[in-house]
Amino acid sequence: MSCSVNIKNLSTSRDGVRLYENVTLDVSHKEKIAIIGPNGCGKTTLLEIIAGLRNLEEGTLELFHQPMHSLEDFKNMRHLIGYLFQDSDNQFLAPVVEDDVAFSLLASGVSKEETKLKTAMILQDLGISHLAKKIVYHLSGGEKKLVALAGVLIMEPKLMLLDEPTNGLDQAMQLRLVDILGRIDKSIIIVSHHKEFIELVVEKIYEITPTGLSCSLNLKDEHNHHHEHGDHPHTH
Amino acid sequence: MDKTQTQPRIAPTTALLLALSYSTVVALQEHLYAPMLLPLLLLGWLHRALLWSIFKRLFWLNTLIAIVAASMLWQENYELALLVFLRSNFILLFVLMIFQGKDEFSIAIAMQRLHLPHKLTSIFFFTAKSIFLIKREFTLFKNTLHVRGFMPKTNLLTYKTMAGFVGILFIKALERSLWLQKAMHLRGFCGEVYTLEAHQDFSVYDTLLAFITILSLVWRQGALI
Ligand SMILES: Nc1ncnc2c1ncn2[C@@H]1O[C@H](COP(=O)(O)OP(=O)(O)OP(=O)(O)O)[C@@H](O)[C@H]1O
Ligand SMILES: [Mg+2]
Repeated sequence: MSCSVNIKNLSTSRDGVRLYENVTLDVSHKEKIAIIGPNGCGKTTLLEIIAGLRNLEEGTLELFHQPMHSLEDFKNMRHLIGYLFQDSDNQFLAPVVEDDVAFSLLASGVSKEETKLKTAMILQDLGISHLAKKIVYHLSGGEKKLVALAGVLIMEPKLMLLDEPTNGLDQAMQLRLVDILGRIDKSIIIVSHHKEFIELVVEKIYEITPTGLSCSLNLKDEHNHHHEHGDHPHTH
Repeated sequence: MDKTQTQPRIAPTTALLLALSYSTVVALQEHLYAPMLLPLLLLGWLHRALLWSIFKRLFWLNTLIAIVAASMLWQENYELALLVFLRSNFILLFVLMIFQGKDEFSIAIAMQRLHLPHKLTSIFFFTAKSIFLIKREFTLFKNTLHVRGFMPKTNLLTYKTMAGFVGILFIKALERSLWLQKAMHLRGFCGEVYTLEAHQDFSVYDTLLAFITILSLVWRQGALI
């Protein structure tokens, strides 16, 4: 099986307090999973470790079958990983919406013309074309989230880490997001407290507990299970 | 809501360039000439609806200038005192009016449009961002105190609260800078903040103001002082 993320026996502490031990997680190619758990249990911390923003204390981490030992190893992986921060303000590098959305593409050397087209397309897709010329910091919370998301989506990363993507989004936008994420054929890890949303997007839900990660829901296997019993008409 | 839409638009680029030239020339001239009032009059007319608040700000800024001018009066150098006073007020009024309705970001964007070195503009962008976020933190804290019924008094609780607030501001600023570093790593920042914008949208006001300002700086007639 080809895997995007492969974590074994990961333990993490912050300020000397152990958050969790023995976390083991495999995310295969194009698989979408969610991680849930109470406030402060270490979900954001886990995403930071996967994105190479925080050192690994114990355990091993492989991304696309490459062992990641130090933060240096992540350098070559940067363009493959997209990360939506829990607080969008932290994510912005350029002050104007379209410039910020285009940032990673331009930084990786894509031509201005192509970037312009792609930016317009992604803004259209998210229904925020009217914000293109605005200053990012003058937007509402939900609008900021969408702009930050556009900046992640435009890179077409092979692995997407989304920390609370629905925070501040209205009902219609949430459904739009379900649709957009559903169309993406990449590995996605979502951290969210929003159960209805993640159930519409992901195949597996893991829960962080002090003793590791437990799979609390596996929609994929249920799905297969249905089919083993024949061709009864059913909906998913 | 876009506040800039309801006011006469002067492009940030124009504002930055004209503010630089006007203040340099006015500061370095031996005399002040009457035509130097022209751009002030034009700007004043453009911002006629906001004149009151602009002059209020000018008044407070003048407390500083008053100290300098007073020190010269002390030495009985009346002419110099007047020159310093007028000069500073010309420049301040010009800058206040031309940057009216523009925030730290539009100035940073203007620097980018002028093709100043990437390092310089990036530093400006991130400084603007930090200032904005700290300002917001400050407002948030003030509102919290207000909502929670805090009355500033000269007692220990007030001092403690204020000291705690300053501490929190420091921690938040530090945290923000760490996040900025993370974002730079993740998004492949390599020293440049890019822009897709190719053209600059100058209006008729930009041309008019630029013309008047340049004229006022070269037309050396009618020395005021
Ligand atoms: N900068 C920091 N310094 C020290 N400890 C921190 C810091 N940030 C977070 N922590 C601690 O680490 C633990 C895990 O934080 P984390 O942000 O990963 O939680 P989370 O699961 O994402 O929570 P939430 O659902 O509220 O986003 C928390 O107990 C928190 O107090
Ligand atoms: Mg979190």
